[in-house]
Amino acid sequence: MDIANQANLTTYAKGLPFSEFMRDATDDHTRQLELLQHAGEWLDAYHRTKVSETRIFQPKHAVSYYHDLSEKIQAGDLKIAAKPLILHGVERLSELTTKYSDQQAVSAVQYGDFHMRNLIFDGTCLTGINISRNQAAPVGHDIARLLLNYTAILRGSKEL
Amino acid sequence: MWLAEPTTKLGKAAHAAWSGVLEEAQLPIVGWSYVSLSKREDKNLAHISYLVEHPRHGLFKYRLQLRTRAQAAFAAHYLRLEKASRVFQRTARLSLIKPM
Repeated sequence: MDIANQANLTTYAKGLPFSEFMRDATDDHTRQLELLQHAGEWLDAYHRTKVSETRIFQPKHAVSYYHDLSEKIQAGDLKIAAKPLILHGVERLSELTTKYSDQQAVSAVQYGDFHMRNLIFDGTCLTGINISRNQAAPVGHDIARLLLNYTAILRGSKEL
Repeated sequence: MWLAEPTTKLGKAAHAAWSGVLEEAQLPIVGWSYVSLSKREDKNLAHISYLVEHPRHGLFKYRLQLRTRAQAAFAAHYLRLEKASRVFQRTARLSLIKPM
């Protein structure tokens, strides 16, 4: 590493972006699930490099924020695309909140930009190539980043 | 390693820093080949990367970031990768790049 010039050298991961394998399996949801589970295994191994603490999951502030948004959308104060989808999502969030609030969550060092192009796959081995954060966060943040990337690119809104 | 003198500011910066990076990584100065991997040059962001290969040491990615200038963050990010790379439990199915 050369800090002054902001230059570095790393090993090179052979293979293709994970997203290519996911795209190839567009019509094979079983294969996509296997691949996502593989990515989950990878993320688990990465998070275990620095587990920081356990916390109690309390999403009430986030949920309250989405409820406020929902009210603004319904009142017409906020214009958005895909209105029914967003409103349904907020409703679903409320249901899930009841189920998962106050459970134990684990914080670990965050990968950051954990999307399908930041993993390289050679058909057997999955390699992480682009850590972008250096702070602790609930492990769900990285999981959500990957799943949002997957659904946004490879799933239609009707499937959500 | 560079077959032709680079013409862009990014290429020149990468060229100029290359021998120092090799020295730091305790790798030989000669015997490398390279191909360009990516380049981005905006007002606030400028970085370039190369796939470099040495017949005895294998393949690496060489990256230089001209903008943003954030040396402390750059170093912290690299040290995080170094630490994670040391601790990461590699298997036949799971791996993480190693900083040199």
